[in-house]
Amino acid sequence: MTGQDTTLELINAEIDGVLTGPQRAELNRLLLADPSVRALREGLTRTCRALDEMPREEIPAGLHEAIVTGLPVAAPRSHGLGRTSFTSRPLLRYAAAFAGGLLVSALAFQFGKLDSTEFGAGQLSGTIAAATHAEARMVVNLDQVRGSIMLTGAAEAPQVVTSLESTRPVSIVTQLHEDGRVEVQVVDDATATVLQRGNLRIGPGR
Amino acid sequence: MNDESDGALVRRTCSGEPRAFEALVRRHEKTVFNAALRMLHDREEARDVSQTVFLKVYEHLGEYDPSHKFYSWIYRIALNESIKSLQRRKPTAALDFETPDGTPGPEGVFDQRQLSDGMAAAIMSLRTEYRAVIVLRHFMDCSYEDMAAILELPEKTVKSRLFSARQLLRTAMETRGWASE
Repeated sequence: MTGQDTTLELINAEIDGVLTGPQRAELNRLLLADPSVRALREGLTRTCRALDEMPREEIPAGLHEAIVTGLPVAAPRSHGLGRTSFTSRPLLRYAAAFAGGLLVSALAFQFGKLDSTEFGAGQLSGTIAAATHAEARMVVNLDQVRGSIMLTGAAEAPQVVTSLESTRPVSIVTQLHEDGRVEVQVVDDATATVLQRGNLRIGPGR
Repeated sequence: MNDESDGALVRRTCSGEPRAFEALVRRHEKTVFNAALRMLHDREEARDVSQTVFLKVYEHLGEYDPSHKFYSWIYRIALNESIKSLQRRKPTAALDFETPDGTPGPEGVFDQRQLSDGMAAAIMSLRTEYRAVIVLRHFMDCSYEDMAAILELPEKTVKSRLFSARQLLRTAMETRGWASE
């Protein structure tokens, strides 16, 4: 180890609060003997103090809720995701969009008013939308499908924008609830298993 | 405030109590978000990374080895996801942090905000492996031992990397006009 290495190690040990007694004595000797060591110590100490004084940001509004509601339905130990049947009729079903291959798509669609609607593969052009002002977002990061599902627009007429890539056919099932929350499910088409479920909301709940 | 250990909360989550995982999220979300923010210098990306981190933690919770510290595991995932996010960026994104925010005012004096902005830009100017050790030590309060475990490197290598990173930051700040007193 060179003298410079030793000096650096001693100064950094002091900064990190792990300097031993003998090391303290050695550092003091170096500081007294060499002005460049004093300058180095001062510069590094100021740098580390500035780092430690940088503000810790609060998490963005809604992040905690997005994390919790975006978790898979199944308990973590099971790994296999059990079959789940839908207890309520979805307002809009956007199906078979990602049938095999590696497909990236960004589609926006508005909620229908009454009946559920199922789109066939030939009807999936939708509206290509740049989702630059998403109010709420659910990240999907599963083995077979990745990307994000966002809720945009006004609370009264929300739009769901998907940007997903998938290696297997999956459906994105959405349901607008009375309280203004939009429940989103990522469903494996082959097994009808809900891979991920979350709730998105624009603005305060009713 | 939940006083249960991370390990106890992990066990309860694996037993089918999702509220236990929510407590884990609450305990670690701010640190994970800030680490991602310092790695990426982008709040939206940091938000996405934070979501991905907890999703991955949940999915793989059954594989967690309780002989290791839980936070080491989650911090490793946070760093890896941040690095993946950096790798997905377009090359031009690297220019985003070349902002004038970190330059001193007309008197040549930094106020706290300028200092913070300048330091954030200086952190982003570091190579990823140097940035990672700075984030672990100064934003996640990890010891040398923790850092070695998270990065799966010998402690000696971690220390050497941290000391070099601090030197580089000092030089970068002095280049921006942050003169020694």
